Amino acid sequence: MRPEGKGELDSLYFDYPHFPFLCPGELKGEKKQHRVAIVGAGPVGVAAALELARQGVESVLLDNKATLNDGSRAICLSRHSLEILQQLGVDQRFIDKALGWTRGRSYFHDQEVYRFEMPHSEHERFLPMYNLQQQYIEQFLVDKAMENPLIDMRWQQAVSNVAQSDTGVLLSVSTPEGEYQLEADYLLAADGGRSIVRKSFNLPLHGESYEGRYVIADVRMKSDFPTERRAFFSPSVMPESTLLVHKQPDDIWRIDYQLLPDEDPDQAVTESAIRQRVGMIIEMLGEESDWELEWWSLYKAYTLALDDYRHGRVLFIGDSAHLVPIFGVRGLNNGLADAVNAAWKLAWVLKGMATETLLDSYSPERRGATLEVFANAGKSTRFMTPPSYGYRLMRDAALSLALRNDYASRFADPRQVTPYTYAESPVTSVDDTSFSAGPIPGAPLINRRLGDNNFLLDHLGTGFNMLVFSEDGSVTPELQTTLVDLQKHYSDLDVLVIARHASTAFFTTLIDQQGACFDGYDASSGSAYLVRPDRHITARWKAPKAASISTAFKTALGESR
Amino acid sequence: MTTILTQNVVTQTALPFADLEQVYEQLAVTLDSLPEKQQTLFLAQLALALAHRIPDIDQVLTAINEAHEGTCLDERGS
Repeated sequence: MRPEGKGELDSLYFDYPHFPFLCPGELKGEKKQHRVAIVGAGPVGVAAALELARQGVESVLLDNKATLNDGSRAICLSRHSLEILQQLGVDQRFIDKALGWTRGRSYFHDQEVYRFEMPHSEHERFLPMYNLQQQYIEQFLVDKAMENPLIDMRWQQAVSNVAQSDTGVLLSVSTPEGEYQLEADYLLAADGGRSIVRKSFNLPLHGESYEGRYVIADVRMKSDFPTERRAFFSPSVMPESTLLVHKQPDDIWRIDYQLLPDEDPDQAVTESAIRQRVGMIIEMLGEESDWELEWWSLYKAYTLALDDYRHGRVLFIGDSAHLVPIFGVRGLNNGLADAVNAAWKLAWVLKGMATETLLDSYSPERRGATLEVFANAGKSTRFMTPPSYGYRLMRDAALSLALRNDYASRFADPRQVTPYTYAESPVTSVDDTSFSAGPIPGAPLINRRLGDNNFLLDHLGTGFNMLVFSEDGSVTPELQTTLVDLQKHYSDLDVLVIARHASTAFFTTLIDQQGACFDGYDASSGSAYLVRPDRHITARWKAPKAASISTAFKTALGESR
Repeated sequence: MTTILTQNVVTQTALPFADLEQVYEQLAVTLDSLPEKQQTLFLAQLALALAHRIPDIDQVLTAINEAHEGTCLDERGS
């Protein structure tokens, strides 16, 4: 919602683009079976299209709007998401515009009781978290997609129904110039919480809905307060409520507060009610400059998910598959992880490099991530908005103790999103027990600094990567033969040798002078990690053998375990 | 768990945080099952029952102090 007299796209700081309707081939009588159709050009759908294109697969991306999402919505991108965006080749614009942050504070009765610092080190290219309005997130992704010849962007084209057969999916599409049927081998449903695709197949979401409604409001205000997450429990201006404050680019501040149980939500979202409440909050924050109201919205916390994220030739990604509470910034960040997980697998199946069974691993991996989110989000939500007297008393007790006792301050931890480990996945190999540290199979790669503005993750190829550790860059003739044979079979396999010192080498070699990679990966000379296109490790060996590498590759592509 | 605690002074015998979380949940649910006028009595009984299991009076007195300081914060802030 926006202030009276303003249109839906009348922003104080953002110029909404207009995407014209371009008549699709189908309306001109052309017949084509597309490889992949994607419904919904939000951040998740566009990220999926970019990952498909990166893997060399064409897609057609449909959206019913003529512009980007109105209002800000998601604003926090995690480090893991930035690493995804780096692979998609769009990270620089995000870094240039977004506000990175590492810390946060919690207040109880207006007194600071807890400060947290998110894990960060010189080995990370990206900060733990970045704040950026969703319009910018969408714009940067869409700009990249629109310049990609493998992505057919279709604005102002609404999908009204979907059906599937053994050979493909059939979408009914309405446009300003009439309706048509679109055919594709596979469909990625990225059409959000109110997914039309989900409704077409009558697939129910299961889970819980939480007590309490929240207002999110964006205001423009000049303030020098650093970019941190601030949480206010029982603030004096609204003692029964919880309040969150985040800084965004362009002097925009996100204020997020809980409505009281007896408050009428319709009344609470009137412009006058928003102005009055936001004014009180800004005064409490000690800000003295003028502020302008940009946009606001109302939401409720849910933990809802589909029972299976795959439905035949349809994969559900992002909010169409799961709705999560905002606490912990998991909606968009998990959506992006869904997008690249589904997209690389689909691409490898369509390229004939994997069988369709690979797609069976999508739901266990990403639904597993959702269920973990639910476990954390439930705790966060009960802490942010206690559902009963008992929970409120315990919450207040923990916060009261938190000021002087660290054991209690952990309860106030925001439990923010962390990448999920696919350890139980059918396409993850059993770990080599001779490792005592380093990321396990199923976990994402960890980044390590190789030099000035030079990190391990900068060097990954687009497909699978085999990291081989070596003192001097050489590998045994046996391993070299195995890897070269694999590269003949799987054209999209890059071998990266990580060496302590330089020498002439057969494979691409990264120099790890400080030994940071060796340490981080608990590697010795000869150790190897096999890594999927989405940077998750599928197998690792202290001392690999030809047969086990080949087996691990088959497992990773869904052929056996 | 994404935070680093700078001064995490936990003795070796302290309850792991995951267990403390379970206690938090169990107490919330138990408190909700009691009529309001019995809640304070329940918490006082619980304090005595827990103290009985700690063979060191100093630790118990320290805990009483900790909780007392917490309530002072609560009153001042309100």
